[in-house]
Amino acid sequence: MMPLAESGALGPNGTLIAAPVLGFAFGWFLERAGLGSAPKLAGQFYLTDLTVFKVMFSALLTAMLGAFWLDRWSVLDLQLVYLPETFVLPQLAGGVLFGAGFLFAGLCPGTSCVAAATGRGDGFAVAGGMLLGVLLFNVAYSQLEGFYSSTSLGGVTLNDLAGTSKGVMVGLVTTVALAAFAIASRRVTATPVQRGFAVAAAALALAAVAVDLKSADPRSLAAEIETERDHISAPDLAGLIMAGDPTLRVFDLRTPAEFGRMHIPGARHATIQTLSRDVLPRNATIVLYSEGGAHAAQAWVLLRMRGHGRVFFLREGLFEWLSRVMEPRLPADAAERERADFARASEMSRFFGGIAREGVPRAEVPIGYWNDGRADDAGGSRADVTARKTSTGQMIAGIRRRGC
Amino acid sequence: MKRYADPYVAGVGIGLVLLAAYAIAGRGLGASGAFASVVATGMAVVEGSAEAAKSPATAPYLSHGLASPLHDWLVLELLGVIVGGFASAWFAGRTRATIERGEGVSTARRVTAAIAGGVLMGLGAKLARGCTSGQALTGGALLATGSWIFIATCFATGYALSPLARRLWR
Repeated sequence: MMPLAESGALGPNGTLIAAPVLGFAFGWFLERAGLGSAPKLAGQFYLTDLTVFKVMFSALLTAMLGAFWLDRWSVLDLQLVYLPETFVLPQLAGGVLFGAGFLFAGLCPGTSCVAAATGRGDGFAVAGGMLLGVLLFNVAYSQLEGFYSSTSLGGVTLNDLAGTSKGVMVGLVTTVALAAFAIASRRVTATPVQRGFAVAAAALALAAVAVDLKSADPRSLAAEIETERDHISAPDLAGLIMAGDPTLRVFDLRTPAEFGRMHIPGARHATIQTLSRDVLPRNATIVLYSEGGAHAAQAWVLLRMRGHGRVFFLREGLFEWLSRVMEPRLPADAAERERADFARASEMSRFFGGIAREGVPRAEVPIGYWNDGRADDAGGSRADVTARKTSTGQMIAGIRRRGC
Repeated sequence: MKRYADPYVAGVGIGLVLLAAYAIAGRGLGASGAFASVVATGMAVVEGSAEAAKSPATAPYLSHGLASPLHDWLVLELLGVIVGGFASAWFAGRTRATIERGEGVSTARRVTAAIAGGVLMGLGAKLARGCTSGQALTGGALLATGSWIFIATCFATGYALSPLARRLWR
């Protein structure tokens, strides 16, 4: 998965080799559009030539839509692409100074290099001025430092700020940009190529809004939780493991010590922290469990917000695994349905090296055990949780004594 | 001299280059960062590398060691921009030793305005942590809040002050 610099596919200097190649293409397109010529750029500020606006925003749309969809299709992980951090006041002031400078120079830093490269003396003058400006900043840094680091918001996006999903913001930006393009080019007929770009951008943006509204919208998450599509039962998980589902990823959210003592076969240790940043394949079936249910449920929300579609958790944590798969118990006064479930469970128990027990007193069968996990959750009383922890501990001790 | 390309086609081209930069390097394009890198190296040579490595203004640009701005991604990228810009102009017959300016504007005036504009942009780009490439384009496409603040204030100021510079570009 990309970026390649993060996966190490290019070696230590691989990305440095890519830099001049990408720069070459960047400079080429800037010059092709005429952005090496100061009067042409300055026309932007007098609305006589809107090339700057057209080039800049069609580039922005292309990269934005491309990045959104490559991330969706698990080709590129945007979490690993550097997101410029926000410092409200310095960026506001910097924008003001930069805008004024752009107006008088008629060139921005990148285009001044293109202008200079094509023989324009004014390009050299702007580039020289840039070096001087940076030098001034560095010399005055101790005075500017307080302001420079003020009003930091960190790596925050417009959608974070607005509380919408990324797809909705992508759709909004695309809509505004396409409308502006239409106004900017209203006196000329669009060429087939331009029309094609516009249609493609509109379609990709519309689809971005649609997929995001479908998945990570808080209301749809609420509906999934409401209808109990957020969890998986221990026997169903056992079924997936036994079938050798290659997309299955099981994560144990308990402490490393607890994980070391005993964990579900194939599970890997994780924390809320690692799950919030680690790269997982988009198509993975992710199953989470913790001691009770709380941590796993929190991780579920986190992963769903990160855009993973197939995420489930064991509602009663490891206890459910132990009591329903490893050590299923059938009460002496079992009903017909309980017997059928037990038959399935004891088969699994054998597969995973547990022991199924029949004819135990009803009192020793955990409450809510045979009713498909519709037991009261870890949200129960503290005494409940403590009792469960003890019984989980006893079960683990028992299993370990047998040497499994 | 050939006509300029369709700005939308050039824009989509730049967008794809930017996307490739995300995908390959995990970062975007830039220009002012390369200037900053060159200045930091220059300062390190003049005032001693130990001094420059201590200053938080220059230290981030000196992590690869002194006198090696060529190990900086942005410096290499900007060298590419220079070669690419030249190549495009060469094939289109647009290379010309000249100073481009508005009608009736003296060379001295144009050069003065260009240097002054450059100084302002240097300061502004440092304060904003990027320029039209590294902040507006790269961060804007990732929907970074600060990038959009920069885009908005940059163009708003340009338009607000445009009457002052009218004689430069008329």
